[in-house]
Amino acid sequence: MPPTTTTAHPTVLGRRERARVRRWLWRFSLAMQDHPAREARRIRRDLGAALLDDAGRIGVDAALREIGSPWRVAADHLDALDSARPRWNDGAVLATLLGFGLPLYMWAAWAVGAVEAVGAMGGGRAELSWLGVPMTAENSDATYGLTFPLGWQPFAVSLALGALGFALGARVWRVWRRTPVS
Amino acid sequence: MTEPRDPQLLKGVLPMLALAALARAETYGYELVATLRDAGLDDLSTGTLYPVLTRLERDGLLVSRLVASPSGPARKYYRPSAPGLEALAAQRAAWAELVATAGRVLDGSPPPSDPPPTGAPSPAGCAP
Repeated sequence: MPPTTTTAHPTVLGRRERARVRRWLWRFSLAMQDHPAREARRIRRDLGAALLDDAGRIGVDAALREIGSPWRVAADHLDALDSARPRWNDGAVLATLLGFGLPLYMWAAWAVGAVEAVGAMGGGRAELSWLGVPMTAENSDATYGLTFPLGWQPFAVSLALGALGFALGARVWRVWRRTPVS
Repeated sequence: MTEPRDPQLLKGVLPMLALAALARAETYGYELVATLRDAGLDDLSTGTLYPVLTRLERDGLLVSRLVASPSGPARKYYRPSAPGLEALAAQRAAWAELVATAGRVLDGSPPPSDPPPTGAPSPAGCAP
């Protein structure tokens, strides 16, 4: 038996209304980043169709008010997963901090220390090396700084530290995931 | 005036209620929300029900089909699958048992007497 519908006066949505629905779906997609991608796309497609349908019947304001915050709806979907999922965003942030932030901080600290050391020895220039990259530290009345060619070594160190951070983070996450939540 | 319902209470039974309503009539998301509201779940929203429908479908308890809609994209109509109907029967039995237990606890009634465990000596067996 074909289903009956309760639609009395469906209205065609304008561009602005559709844009509001798309904005809600975009925020929902952001909140669903940790959900398995294929299923997240299917859920988004279904939700988008349902939202547009609801908006055509009861208006965009009411449809968006009814469905509520995209973060809460996404949280309901994430809660419904059978097991904890990898937090790729958190992993990427950790890897970036360890792979780029930490080497940058270490290099800056080393550079300031090197230039100050040259100044403490009476000033002038000193040829140095940091992670295999030749550097020139200068501290004189005219110049205060460090010059160096852009080599591959810092990038290799960053990559290695990033990978290490990712692997360590993944390990910690696996251990933490098995901890029963009471 | 009645107190507002605890959302957690609704969350626990909503999958069963959705299955039960869909077992009576195949329908789509918003119409199901309206049906459940008419039944008394006044505070039910699409944002609460849609994830439940998605989960039930993912678990194979619901099947769906798309039907062209006059207002835009095709509508997804849901109905319980055979495993969904079995799950509904099991949930219904568990719910009845829980309601009976909760009623006894709330009223302070004694629990139903359990049969003695097998292997335990009966009073007659203790007699000389």
